[in-house]
Amino acid sequence: MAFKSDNDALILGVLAERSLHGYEISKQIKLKSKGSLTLPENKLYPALHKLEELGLITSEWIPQHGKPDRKVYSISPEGTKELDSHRSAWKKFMANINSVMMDTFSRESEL
Amino acid sequence: MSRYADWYAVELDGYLRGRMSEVQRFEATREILNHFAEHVDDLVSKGMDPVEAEKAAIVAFGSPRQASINLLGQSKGNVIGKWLILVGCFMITWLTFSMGLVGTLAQIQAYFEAPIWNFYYNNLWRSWEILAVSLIVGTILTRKVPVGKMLIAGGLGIALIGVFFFVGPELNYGNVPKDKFDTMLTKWQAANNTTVLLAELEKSIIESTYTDTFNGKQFVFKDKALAIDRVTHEAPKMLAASSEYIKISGTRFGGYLAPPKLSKSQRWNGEDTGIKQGYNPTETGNSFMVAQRTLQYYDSAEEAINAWAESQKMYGRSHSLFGSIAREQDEFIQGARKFGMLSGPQLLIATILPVILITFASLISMMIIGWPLTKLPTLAVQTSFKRRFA
Repeated sequence: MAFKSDNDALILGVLAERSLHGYEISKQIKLKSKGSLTLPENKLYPALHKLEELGLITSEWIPQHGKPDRKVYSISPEGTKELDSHRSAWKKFMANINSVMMDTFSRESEL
Repeated sequence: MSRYADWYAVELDGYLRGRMSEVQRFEATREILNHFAEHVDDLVSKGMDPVEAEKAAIVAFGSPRQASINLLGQSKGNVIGKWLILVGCFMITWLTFSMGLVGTLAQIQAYFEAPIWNFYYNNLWRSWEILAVSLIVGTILTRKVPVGKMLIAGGLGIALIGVFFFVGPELNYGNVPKDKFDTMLTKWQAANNTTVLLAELEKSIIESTYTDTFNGKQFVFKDKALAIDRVTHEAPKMLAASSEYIKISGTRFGGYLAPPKLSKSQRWNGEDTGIKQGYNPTETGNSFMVAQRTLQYYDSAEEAINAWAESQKMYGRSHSLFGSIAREQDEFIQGARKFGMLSGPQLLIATILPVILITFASLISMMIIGWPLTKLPTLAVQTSFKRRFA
């Protein structure tokens, strides 16, 4: 039933929807989790570099006017597979937790 | 973007320089600058002053040092550095254990030329070099002083000593059985007496002729007849006792006497004398073998004593070498006698306490040295950034 919650899964999750740059990834994680999950900003880039090195994401430099160039990340096919395995593990983990916690909760409600 | 982000980039670049490829460094810095720009735009759109927004973005991101540690966490240099630190900490454990082991074995087991002792003795100082180099390089590469790991390693080494004492031969005083200890002590004392006699002979030579003729090429003994007579009559006794003596004398390590184990060819080649290593062996038992060799390999006592005097010239010695050796030997006997009277637990305390002190002194030294190393080569830049940002 083990599920390892990690930053890699969160990053792959937000990149599955669309390509994003670093700051936007951090913002999206916070937004989608309604502020309950915050990825430390200076840990975001090492995680992105690692995922890129593993081939789970790809990147592209986009020149900008009046601002430093932007590095935009996209999920790769390998990254999508990895995300699927994270999702399966999470579903299994949730189901197991539910079967323990919600079952107890239901019986207490009946009493 | 104002100067704060630029200063941040300069300092971050300094931390990463030499620890990342040029391209990686450039891209990492540009990416973080872009992050600041996006964050600033975000905050300004919410009504914040641009300069304050830039400060807030930097604060939210964290210090350049921490950012560099996180970025380097993925780099090959960091991985190598961590392995080097592991090697260093492993060496601390091993050395801490060795110090206790060697101390005990060398002191108590000196009568026997134990192979394990020779292994530790011959490799100990080389090990310290590996320890120091691996910890220093690892500290530079990872930008962290591995305080916790070092403390754990030191503690583990001390624990191993404890294990050694409780499962080892401490109840038997090393390999010296209690009932044979007095016999051995008598033998050691006899060897010491012979050394004292030789010291007197040497002293007579020094006093009568050596100081007068040291600066000249010729060694003419005013009382040569007496010297030859002493060598002829005392040297055989000394040589007879020398095998015992050599076992209990030798180079000092950590306050303990330890027996050298060298082949005859090594001795003949002077490897034991320190001549090849270029140090003065006055305080070591090895010097004894210089004289022993000289006396052993010459045809006559006269020839031997001339050669011996010649060999002393290079050290400019003006005091009795054998006097030093006799004192050293006497200290050994006193120490052995003292240790021979200790019980197992007393022996444990007597040995483990100095090891604890040495280990923790070494660890603290390494931490004091390691901290500035983590700041190199960006100490000035960091100070400058902090002052400007304040």
